[in-house]
Amino acid sequence: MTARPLVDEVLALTPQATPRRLKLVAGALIALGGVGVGAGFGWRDGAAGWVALLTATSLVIGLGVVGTLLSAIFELTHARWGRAYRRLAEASIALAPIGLLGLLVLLVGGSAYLPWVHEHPDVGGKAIWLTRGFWDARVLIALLVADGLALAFLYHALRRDFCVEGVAKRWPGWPGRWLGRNIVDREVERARCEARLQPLAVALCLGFGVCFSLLGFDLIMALDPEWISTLFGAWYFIGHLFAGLAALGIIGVVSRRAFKLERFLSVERQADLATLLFAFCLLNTDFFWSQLLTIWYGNLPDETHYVIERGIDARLPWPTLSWIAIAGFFAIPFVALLFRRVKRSDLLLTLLASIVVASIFLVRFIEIAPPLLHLGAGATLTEALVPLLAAALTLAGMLGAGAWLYGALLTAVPLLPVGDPIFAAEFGRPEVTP
Amino acid sequence: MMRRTPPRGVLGVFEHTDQLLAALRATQKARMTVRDVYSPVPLEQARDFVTPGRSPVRFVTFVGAVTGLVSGLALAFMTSDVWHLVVGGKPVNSIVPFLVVGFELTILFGALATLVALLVLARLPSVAFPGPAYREQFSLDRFGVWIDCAAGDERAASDLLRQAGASDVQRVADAAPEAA
Repeated sequence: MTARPLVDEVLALTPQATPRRLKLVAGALIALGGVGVGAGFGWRDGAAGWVALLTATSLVIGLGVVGTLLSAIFELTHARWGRAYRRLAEASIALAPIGLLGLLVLLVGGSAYLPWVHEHPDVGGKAIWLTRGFWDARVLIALLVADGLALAFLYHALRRDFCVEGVAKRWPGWPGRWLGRNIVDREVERARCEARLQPLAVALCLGFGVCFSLLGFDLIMALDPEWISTLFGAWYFIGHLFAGLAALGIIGVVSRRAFKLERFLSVERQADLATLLFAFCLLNTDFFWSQLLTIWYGNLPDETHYVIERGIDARLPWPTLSWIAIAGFFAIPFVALLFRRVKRSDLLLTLLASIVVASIFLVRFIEIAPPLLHLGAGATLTEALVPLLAAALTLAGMLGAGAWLYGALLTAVPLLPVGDPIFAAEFGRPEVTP
Repeated sequence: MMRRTPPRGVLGVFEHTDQLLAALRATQKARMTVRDVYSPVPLEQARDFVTPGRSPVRFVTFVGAVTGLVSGLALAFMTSDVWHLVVGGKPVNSIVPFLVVGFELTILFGALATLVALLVLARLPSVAFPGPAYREQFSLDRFGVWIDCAAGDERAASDLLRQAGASDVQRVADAAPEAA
């Protein structure tokens, strides 16, 4: 049973309305996103517009699920330290509809940018796999399954909160009524939600891996149909986890100040999160290096051209961007996160986490842009920077729209998981002061 | 981490964690040194009061890790050079696969150096455990705070512990250690 003072404290901290500053920032970002899409489609043959949309969408669909996935990991591991981060992570589901919308646009306009649509039907020996219709259905179903699992997990996590006395009264409107409907015996219903969360967490972890591997293969790897890497799917979804964790670090810092969550999101917990970020930095690099090492040893022309184009050929602008990305997702966070001061500092951790998110975005751009932009030998860096800027602005717009929904979602449910027994045990007693 | 200095100071015995934490805060405020804290259960809030500054273990870890990296790369480069190990038609000395060896030894040497540093600096295994201030009740239902202070400051320390709610206050030097 969650202690009454804790519930009252959390409900008092939960915002009544979306903060005005968040709305302003989100609105500005959405406007920038419009500029980015316009610039992309208006530049040369418009291929940069598709690059921008695909790059931004491929990241946003992952960020829309990965927050709930982190919450599911906390649920499965019974981790005490990250309990207060759960709701802030789960609320990133607000990005899911934005990502889905982006994907629908990409499906509708597929024929305009998918290279294999206009090439030989048996390109890369994938005649059946790469056909419109099958590809469209596969991509859409993979995302819907991942989003569906995340929503099912989130529903039970939220309903568990609404089983706590006093929570449903705070939200008499439809979300509260829906989440708190048909609850006869609070403890029985809470136990029922508890029992369902565990298998759902397992399903979400597995489903995320499978669905996002498939999305990685289809949305990005298929842009170069003759290039094959069985590791690409894992590399794609682990990047989402890394970026999602970094984004949670930023959200934690901002939320602690905005919602006065110092007691729950302490500096020690922030340092724990940063330590996990360090671990994911190594894991992400491990996946990168495993892929590179295999291609390097195999030395097969079908595989090496992908690496040469992006990492070695000095006549192209991509190697420069690749080295910046490697510095962003490995060198900088690896060195910086060795220092306790960085992990405990709001400013430094926010800066570092922003670098990580930006570098994962840059990785996606470098994977997507070359086969769509067709920059030849001697292309300048500027020719790559315009599409990159368009993609960055498009991503900003999608994140802005997501932030708007994120803020609204946080006003509709308890800001912290009051129904979570481990959270209640961790923070149930008020802090002792001499 | 226990230091090998003669036992001195006062020991406060508490019945509740609230009192223990209050005593620790008051001790910190009065700039007194907490030598050790005893608790029958893990008490995260008390950890910060007894953590002795920055641990030198991390420097040893760093040195171990760098040694591992250099050793791993040297091992790979030198053996390939001496034996001309050609794999897959690649150059004898190639950084791409050798970094894996370097990374593995970085972790191995770093971890071993950490373990050794921990054992040496914490003076483990310690035959002197549990120390002169330990009482059996600290493994049952009581909490203890050992304030390290000179004989002249013992009175102030005792008053502070009593004000925080200590049920018993003793001079550590006077109290005979009990068996664990």
